[in-house]
Amino acid sequence: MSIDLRPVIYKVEALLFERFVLMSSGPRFRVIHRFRITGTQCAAGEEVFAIFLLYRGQEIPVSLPLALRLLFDYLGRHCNVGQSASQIAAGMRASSFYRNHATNSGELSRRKISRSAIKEYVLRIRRALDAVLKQASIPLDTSCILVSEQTEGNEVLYRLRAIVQCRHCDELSAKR
Amino acid sequence: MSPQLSGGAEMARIVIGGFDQPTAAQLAMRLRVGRHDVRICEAISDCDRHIIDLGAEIDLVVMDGTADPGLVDECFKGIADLYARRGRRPMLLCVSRVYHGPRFEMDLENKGARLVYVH
Repeated sequence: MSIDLRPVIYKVEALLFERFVLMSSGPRFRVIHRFRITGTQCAAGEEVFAIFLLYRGQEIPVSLPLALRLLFDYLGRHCNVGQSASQIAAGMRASSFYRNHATNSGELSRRKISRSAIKEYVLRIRRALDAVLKQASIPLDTSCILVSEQTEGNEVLYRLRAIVQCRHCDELSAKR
Repeated sequence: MSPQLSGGAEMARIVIGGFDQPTAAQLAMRLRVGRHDVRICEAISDCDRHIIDLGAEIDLVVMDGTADPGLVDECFKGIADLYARRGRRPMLLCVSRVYHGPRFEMDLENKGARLVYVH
């Protein structure tokens, strides 16, 4: 008995395209910042409140502690270039966003990110991503998302291969 | 996934399994028109072994779940376990001519697979 294979072909094309997009751009994440002052955008004093994986209309929370949320946020802002542990630590130390993290709330909550801790933090982020990728049944390996790029020397560059968007909530009308 | 084709899609490696011979041949032919590399595996139970033997990266596995949806479910679970250690699991698609109810579809989706009904 002959069957109409068109729906199968259409579905195959859709699945292959979805895979292609996942492989080339990586998955989509949403980083939620809160305690924004009206009129500012990702300014110092805001808090990196939560991180979500966005997939097929779902928002799946990535459970990360403060230090890892900060590192993820930093890597998400620099998706286009890999950075070594020293560069990441220096970049975060120099940024007023991370130095004054969550000060708009009146409660300072910051973490000192040292060069030596980055490698371990990257492993922990990968473990957390692994859990959400499994939950969302996304066919990707975490080492393809938080990539370690080899250099000519012995330095390793870390890069987040993903589409990261930032959203703000709990806006404050004036600085306290 | 190597040479790029128009529309962003690329030549993909596809394994199809569980279909009767004429349907498998017809489906393979239609997919090869899109310049995909298609391998046919007759029995669903042989699919995981077939995928291991291929060794290469598989992009998509298409199974016929008309006769034995449970077997397809098992096979997809096996593939998911196999690739848990390898990374980059293939996309999974189950095709059926018979309606198997919402639970079957939900179970498949929980494994990251999709379901399509044909007539």
